[in-house]
Amino acid sequence: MIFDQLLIQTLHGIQYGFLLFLVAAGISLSLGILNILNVAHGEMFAAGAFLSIALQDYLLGMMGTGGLSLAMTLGFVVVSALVAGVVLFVGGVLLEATFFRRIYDRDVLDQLILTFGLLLVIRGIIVHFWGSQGLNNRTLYRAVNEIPVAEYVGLNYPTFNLVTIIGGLLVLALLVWAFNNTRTGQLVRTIAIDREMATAIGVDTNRRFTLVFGVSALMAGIAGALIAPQSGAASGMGDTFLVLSFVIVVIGGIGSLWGTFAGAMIVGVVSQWMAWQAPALEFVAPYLIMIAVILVKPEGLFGTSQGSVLE
Amino acid sequence: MRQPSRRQVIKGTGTSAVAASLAGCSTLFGRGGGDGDGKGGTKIDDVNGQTDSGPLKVGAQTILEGPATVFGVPTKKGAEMAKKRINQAGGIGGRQVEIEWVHESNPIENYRRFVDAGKDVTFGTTSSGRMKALAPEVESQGVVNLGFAGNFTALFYDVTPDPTYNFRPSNMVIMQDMAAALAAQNLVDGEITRIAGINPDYSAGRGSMNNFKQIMKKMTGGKAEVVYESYPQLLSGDYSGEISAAMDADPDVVFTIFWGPDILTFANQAAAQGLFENTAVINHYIYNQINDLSSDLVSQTNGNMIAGSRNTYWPHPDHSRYKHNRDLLSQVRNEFDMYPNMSFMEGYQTMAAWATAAEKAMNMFGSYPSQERLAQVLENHQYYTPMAYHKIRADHSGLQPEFYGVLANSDQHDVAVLEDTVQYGPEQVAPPVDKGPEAWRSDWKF
Repeated sequence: MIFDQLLIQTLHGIQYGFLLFLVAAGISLSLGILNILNVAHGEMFAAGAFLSIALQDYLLGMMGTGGLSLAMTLGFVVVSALVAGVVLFVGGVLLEATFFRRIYDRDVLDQLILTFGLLLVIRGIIVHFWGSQGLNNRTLYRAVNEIPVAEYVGLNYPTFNLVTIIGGLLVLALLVWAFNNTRTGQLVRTIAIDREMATAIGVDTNRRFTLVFGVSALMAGIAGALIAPQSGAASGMGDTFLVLSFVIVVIGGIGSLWGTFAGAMIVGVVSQWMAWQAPALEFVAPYLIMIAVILVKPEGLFGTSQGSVLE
Repeated sequence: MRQPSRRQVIKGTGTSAVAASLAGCSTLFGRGGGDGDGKGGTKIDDVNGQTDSGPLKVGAQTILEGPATVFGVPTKKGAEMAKKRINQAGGIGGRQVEIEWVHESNPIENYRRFVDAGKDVTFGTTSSGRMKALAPEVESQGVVNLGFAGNFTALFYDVTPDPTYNFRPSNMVIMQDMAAALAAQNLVDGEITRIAGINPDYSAGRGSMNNFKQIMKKMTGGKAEVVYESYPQLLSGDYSGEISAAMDADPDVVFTIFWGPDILTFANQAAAQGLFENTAVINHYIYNQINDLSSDLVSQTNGNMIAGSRNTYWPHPDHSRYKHNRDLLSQVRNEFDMYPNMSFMEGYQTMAAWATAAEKAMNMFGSYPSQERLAQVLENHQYYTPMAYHKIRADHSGLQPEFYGVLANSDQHDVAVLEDTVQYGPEQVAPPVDKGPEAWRSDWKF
């Protein structure tokens, strides 16, 4: 019984951890490579959620009252996540080219002012298009959960949460592959290690910065799309994720992809274990871990004293 | 302050066009007409024999930004509809009503601006925390304010005891908590001995859970024990861990006051994990989401979601027997494509409380009253809306019944309804004026 609950809570934590990872990885990339503190990142996550529900509303509306097949249900989840990701990628590219490129060498206060302004603008755009009461369509969440996958192994666990875990795993795998096996990925890693050297040997850092920022936004969009079927989309939904993302980045180490992943999993799993065994500590647990890491290993679990390495 | 004469009181308490139009029964009395020509009201001369002119100006603040607009936006619609009815019936004493709306994020600054702009009355806030901040300022400035909600219990016990200008027509939270416990006792099969609570991490979440568990313990002779209690953050988007942990503790009931997007997330995740299969969930606010509740989710609650509807419940009084409630529903459906939920009716009711009191005062005194006189009339004021009889008692708290029932799909309506509805009167669930809520709760007997 206790083992079952431990397994379920750990799975909840992994699911939550993947959502946190997708958001925090964008923060980590922005900080580690672009040296930008982007507090508007949580709104990109929210925008992904709104976009995906709007698309699901449209697709489900086209379906009429007909039943959803398994393939269609999963197809809608994947399509809405991809569309949200692509739209956010394009939005991220435009934002980088229009605003962020101008402040890379500016003081962190300027960055905070600009990105906080963008936070308010994006929130305003969301309210303009979708209203202040948010969007609420849990049809896909309920449809996916009708497939009792975990029951085959005797567990009571929502299937949609497994879909979220699989989606997070795929994005992580793609990211690792891209950074390790593509020329662009290797150049980005080079820039992350030594930006001046990379520029000196002819790497077009502006193009790579634009791409990195776009990928950050894409991941936030996918995270929003993955959480939207179960939590809906609401103005301000990115705030908690933004704050926890900074905690995760500090725990894992700025610019370290694996560090961000480890940090997200630690925060996700420990939070859920606390919700089970010590609910009063659920909220403070991530911050206690962060404080411990700062005291023991200030550069983060996977960070290096030389700076970010994207490893 | 000079007390009104007996003749003035009799004149003031007579049937009025405003009261009739807001109760939905203008045609019964043949006044006001409600024909939209704006000529139905009787012009009232002021004390100098001059006819007051120009509109009566209301400054209103509610939540118009962020997730809590699930409360604010329907509140605004309800107040606007009441205003429309008043104006179509000829206004208050022949004067049309105008409302200026602002988001309530800066309640004190908003209120001061309303006062400086010469508003005749102010409404708001919806948030309890902002009401708490605003109330002392209202007493200091002396322009009457009626909160739309701001239901925290301590308002007229601790924050502004013995208020003059602050009013809150809606029920205080402890009434919901008491009613929730009574409803659990009435509607849950079997004895309740194991209680769980998953509530938002702020004062209302903790306060309501404390009230609920204390009352449940009293009702069960001390047998009810809390087997799981947690306070996750608002808008965290994922309550799966808390739900699993609560299920693991095997409670008879789970009490939660999540609202807006959070209660929908909670209910969907609870349904996905099978919480509703054997456990009752009790919640104050899911029924405020009536216009967003899918029939699939309602089905999945499996007859185990016990929901509250605070001051009013839209099918009550029965539409087949009470035309005015039927007409109200029809108008809300036509104008807003929604059903009148708790927040809608709080907006409507707040406007009705002021407008009926203002007209009563105008009948008594001959002109729009001073703020002191308006406050005097509002104290112990009683009025009707198409859904209820309302009272504002001596401490300026509103009193009306509390509704609870089992959430269910309906064959007759395209929204969920409450089955096996129970209602509890203020005498059952409201602490008295002269006894603090904590003392009253500890002396409360089942």
